[in-house]
Amino acid sequence: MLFNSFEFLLFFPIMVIGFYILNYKYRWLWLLLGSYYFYMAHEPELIILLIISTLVDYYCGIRMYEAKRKSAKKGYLILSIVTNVGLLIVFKYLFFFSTNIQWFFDFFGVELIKEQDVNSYNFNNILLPIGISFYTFQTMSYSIEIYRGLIKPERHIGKFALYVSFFPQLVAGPVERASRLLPQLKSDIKIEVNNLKQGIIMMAWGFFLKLVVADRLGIYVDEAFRTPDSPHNLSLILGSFFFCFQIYYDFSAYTSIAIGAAKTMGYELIQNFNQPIFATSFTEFWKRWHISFTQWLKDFIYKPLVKNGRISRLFAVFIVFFINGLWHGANWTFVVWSLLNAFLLVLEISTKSVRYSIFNILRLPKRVRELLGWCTGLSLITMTLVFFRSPNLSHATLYLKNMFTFKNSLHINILDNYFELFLSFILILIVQTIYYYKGNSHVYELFTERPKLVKYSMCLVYILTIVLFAINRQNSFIYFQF
Amino acid sequence: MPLIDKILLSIFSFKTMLKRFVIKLCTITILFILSYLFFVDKLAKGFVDTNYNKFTQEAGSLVLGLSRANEGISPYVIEEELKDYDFFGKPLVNFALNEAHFGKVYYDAIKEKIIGKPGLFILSVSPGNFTAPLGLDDEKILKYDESLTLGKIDDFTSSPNYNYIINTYGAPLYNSLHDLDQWQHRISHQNGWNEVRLKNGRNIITDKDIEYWKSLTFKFYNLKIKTEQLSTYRYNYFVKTIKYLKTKGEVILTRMPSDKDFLNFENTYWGNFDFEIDSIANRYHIPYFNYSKQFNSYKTYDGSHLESKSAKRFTKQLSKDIKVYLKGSHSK
Repeated sequence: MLFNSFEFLLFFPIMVIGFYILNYKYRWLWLLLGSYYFYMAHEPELIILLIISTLVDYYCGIRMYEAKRKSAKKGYLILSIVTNVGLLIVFKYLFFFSTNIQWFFDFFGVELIKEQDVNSYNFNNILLPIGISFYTFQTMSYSIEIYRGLIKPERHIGKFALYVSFFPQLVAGPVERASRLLPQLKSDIKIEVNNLKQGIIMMAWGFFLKLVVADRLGIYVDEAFRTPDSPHNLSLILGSFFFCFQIYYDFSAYTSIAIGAAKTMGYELIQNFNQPIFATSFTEFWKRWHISFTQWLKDFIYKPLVKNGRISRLFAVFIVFFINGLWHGANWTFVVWSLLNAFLLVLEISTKSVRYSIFNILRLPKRVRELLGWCTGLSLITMTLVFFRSPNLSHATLYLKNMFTFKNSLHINILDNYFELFLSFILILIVQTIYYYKGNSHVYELFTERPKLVKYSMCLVYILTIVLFAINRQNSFIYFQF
Repeated sequence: MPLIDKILLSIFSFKTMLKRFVIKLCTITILFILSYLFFVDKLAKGFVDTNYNKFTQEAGSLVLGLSRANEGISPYVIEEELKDYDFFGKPLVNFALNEAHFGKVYYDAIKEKIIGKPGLFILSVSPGNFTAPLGLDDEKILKYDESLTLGKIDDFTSSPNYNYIINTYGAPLYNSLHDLDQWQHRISHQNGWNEVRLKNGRNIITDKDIEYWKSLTFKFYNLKIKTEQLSTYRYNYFVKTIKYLKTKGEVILTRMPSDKDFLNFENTYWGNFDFEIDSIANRYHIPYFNYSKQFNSYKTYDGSHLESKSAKRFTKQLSKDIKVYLKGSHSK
């Protein structure tokens, strides 16, 4: 079910009202049934994968905790990881891997599959289950934390199933740790007006970001990326610049709605963003972007890799970013995007002392250094995102090539609508100003800390903005595909 | 205690602050819905989009097909040329649109649209009518069609058509505040015809524009050939549509003219297209008027779609040929 659908507008109030009416002992069941319904509204049969992941990790968690021998514990951990990664490989990467292996053998002239058998090995028709990358990673973190002795296993299978499938964050995160979310799901939450207010305002903010800003930028981006060989290089530059903001606002919108929806029921989800656009370096950007996932990669992949000097930090960074790219999608474009980011990150860290010496010689004040860092960082991030948005590598390279080939054209109005173009810039400015002053987590303060009359006026402006300026296409969120 | 009492009690035992909050929330929701409906209504009274007029009236006769027929066949000309025939007690509507490939969705829409008989039904055909995205089976093609304009709506005849606006209108509703959202060269007529004029006031489509648009159309065709395939599902529904329309009146098949390059492109894609359509026409005793080779007689503005004057001339020629056919078939 999409957050920006009519069904959700009916589903959500029913969930919240039911939640508060029920005795807290039965709320887990209500939320679990609701969450499964939410998931099944899209592809009902794929719920089975969510249930498999839940059951395996529930079983492994308990057995791992009870096992005396370290080898037995390790065995259950491996079972959990193999199951979850196996689900991902079969349902997300099989087609990708098979076509690449095929290509590899074709390249060396080896016939791997006989021509008449090709159709039997066509994995293109396997449906990608929505949110599979999110919930498998979430359940894996649960098993790993038990293995490391950081948490105890959850004995109540229903509450554990709810932790895996909690509807606000089920399909696009944030990737929650069991140590944070499980205790909340078990607590008796009393109804509080402040939670309801903050939750609904965060959701309203999310809807504004998605319907009015991200989807609007998406129209320009779609048009720019449709013609990578366009003679208007400025429109290509603007297309990639808008995509940087589109993906940020789209994902940030989803996160805000998820956080808001959970908050109305008294639950706190982790914030995925901390003003990433204002980051003054690559290192800082990756600390502020998709926080719940980057933290996951750091804790469960990077740290074990560099522990006791197993492998060099440099190599570990590339492995982590390779996984990050592949996690985003079964396409080399995502891998290249992520590895480029790794390269730039390593370059930034390794040239830090040289850059600082130059800055000192030039006596550049801190603000100017930050501004330089911000401009360079944002430009490079925007450029690497061309790979993220393109359907294949040749499209991306053609786009980048034409982006930097000036053909005597200053044309940027590719939608033939100056008003929409102007509006896009204004909206980016408004959102960034709000984020600058309130951060990603406290947007609700914009509405709560005001005199009554101002609040009513803001409400009216909000209603009119959504009604008049929303793009009514029910576009799914970009991160749904991952 | 019965559940309903429990729910009511829980609701009414909220603290005052909570009650106030719920009331405010309800007020905001109502205000939101009302303002949304107000602007939808305002939009419906002005220009909505180029397809809207196709969905605002019942029809006795229809022009069917894709974008070529949408822009290239004028119901005014047909009504004028064939006024002596008993077809137009109910309006003739151009019900051809970009996404109207043959299939269950289009078939059902046509059934909803037609009222009374006898009618005249002109089906414009080209290989494009029979393609579907690569790798889709019949069920998935149906799903795909259902995700497009015709599949999203279930009211094809009301005016104003709120069902159409709410389900398919993707642009922002601020467009309801003005009437200027049209491409200056296109005029969307009440009968569904979208006329494209090369010259409209001071705005002129130059030969350079036409060449550029031709290159874009060619690019689009090249992309389409890589991502789409001919579908038996579409072919079967084409036959089914003909059978249904035959119970409602006269059915005419036509292949419209386009530029030579595009005709060659289509014929490379489906070599014996004309032969197959001819066979169907013979099997169902309906005429097939093929104008595809008359590319020198008509002008397109992008290689594929006829501009206004050519559209009128073409429709006139088509009407004359229909008249001859009708005379012949009636005399039999």
